[in-house]
Amino acid sequence: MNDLAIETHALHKHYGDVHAVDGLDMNVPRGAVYGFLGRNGAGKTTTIRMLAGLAHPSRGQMRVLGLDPRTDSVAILERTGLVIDKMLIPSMTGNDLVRFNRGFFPRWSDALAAKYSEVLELDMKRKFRKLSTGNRTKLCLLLALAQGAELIMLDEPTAGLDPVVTDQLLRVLVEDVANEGRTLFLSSHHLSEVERIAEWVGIIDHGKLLLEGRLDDMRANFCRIRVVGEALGLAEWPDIVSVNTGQGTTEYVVRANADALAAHLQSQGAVLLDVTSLNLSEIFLEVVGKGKTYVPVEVLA
Amino acid sequence: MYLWKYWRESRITFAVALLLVALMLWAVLKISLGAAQHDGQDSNPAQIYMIMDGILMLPLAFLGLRYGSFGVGRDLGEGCGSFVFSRPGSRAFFVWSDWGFGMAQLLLIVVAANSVLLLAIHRTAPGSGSILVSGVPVSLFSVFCLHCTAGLLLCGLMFGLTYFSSVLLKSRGVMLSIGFLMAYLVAKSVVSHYWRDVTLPNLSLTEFSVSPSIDGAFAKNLGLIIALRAGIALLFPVAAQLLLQQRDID
Repeated sequence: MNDLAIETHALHKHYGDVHAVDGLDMNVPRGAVYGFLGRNGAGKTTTIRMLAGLAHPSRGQMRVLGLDPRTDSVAILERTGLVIDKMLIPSMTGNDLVRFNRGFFPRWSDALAAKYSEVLELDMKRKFRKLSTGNRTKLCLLLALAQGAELIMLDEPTAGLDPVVTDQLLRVLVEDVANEGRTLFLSSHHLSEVERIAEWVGIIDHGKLLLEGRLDDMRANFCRIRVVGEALGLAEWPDIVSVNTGQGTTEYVVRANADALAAHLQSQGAVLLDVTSLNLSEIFLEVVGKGKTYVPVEVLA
Repeated sequence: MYLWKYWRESRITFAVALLLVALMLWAVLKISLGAAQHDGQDSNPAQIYMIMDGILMLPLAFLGLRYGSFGVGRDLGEGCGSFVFSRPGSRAFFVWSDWGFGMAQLLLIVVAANSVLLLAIHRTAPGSGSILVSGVPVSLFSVFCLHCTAGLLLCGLMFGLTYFSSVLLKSRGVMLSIGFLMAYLVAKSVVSHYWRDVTLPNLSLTEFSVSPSIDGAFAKNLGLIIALRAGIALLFPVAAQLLLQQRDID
């Protein structure tokens, strides 16, 4: 059995001249909580739609649970919980939707559905169209979780939710998905939430995966080095992500080997001010090119 | 469980249709019998057939259109296509489940309506296994089968057309289907007005149901005509399936 829950290679999706996904190479380990990060329009939703078999890729390969969504979508969907548009059948109540869903999934659990309706404080007798945004999202999540899926793919699950509901959702995801060894693939641009639960992170921008790796490794390796003076010519230094100068200082952001670069700068006569680790938000901003000097980074193995 | 969803969508229409068709037929039967008794003449079963046939076709066309608006086309129109199509099932499964279950309901409605019609004829001309159409005796069974087939073909055509239109245009599909139907009827009138030798096919099988050669027609070209119409009616769900398989769900 492949130890990857999701893998894509050179995956493309074009809408006319628009390259929504543009050569995506992604590897999601089984059992991981994977945060799929990107700005609006970066290609997150399109990628998930292709993985779920809802959209056809223009070209490239993809495997979900070892199967190809183009030919084995039914087998994949039996084992995958999906929350994508947060729009269910409007005329059905929560109970109706449970009844509708139950027949499709061999591992469906009514006990889990009852548990989540209680934990998430859902009125299961209310029609979907009459639910608030938060309750709609919670009901979508309930249906995805109660089917006993090996893989759960959530597209922007916390969008439009208040902090209390967001906290409820994240707790459920950590306690009932991550702790059970199931794979959770979560797309978002709410970095603090992802940072709270994700072990792995992939950053996508303009349809390309710019960075992928363990979150702990990223936080340990991505550093900002501040020195006094102008930027030195460091073209041979491969780990530099960005270089910013201003007010007599220069900031180097590196993805690895910060200590070595700091030592090198000092050896060149630079006065070292500090070396600080970056949090996920800062890493994200650097990688998607919000720094003054943008250097694309390779995917971390 | 998927069929249950279609049943939820269609059950009110199903119940109302059965009720209305029964009421309409009952009302027509009472009027016809009353008129015959008032005139002191034998009632004319063939005349009742023609009236019934005309009355039935419009609601049956409407029913076919209504049933075609249920199912995945409706889901796409309501924005929940991604949810439905991310349930484990092939696109073909969803299309043919909708179509099969919808047609089964329509078959029940058509047979129920025609059974009432048969009962009405039987009461008008008791003890006879046949009626006179243009002076020629025609078996009641043949008439019953023809009416059921005609009704079902019309329902199937409208169902398939609306279903395909709804998959293609989502919530605007019903309007496209109505537009297509109206355009065909107008075209048929225009063609028959300007080119008297040319006749576009009738959407029902009226020309056979009022013909004294019904029995003979079964042995002649009626089977081919029915097969052609059934084939055309089936083209629409096939097209809907192919369309869904080819395009992205949004």
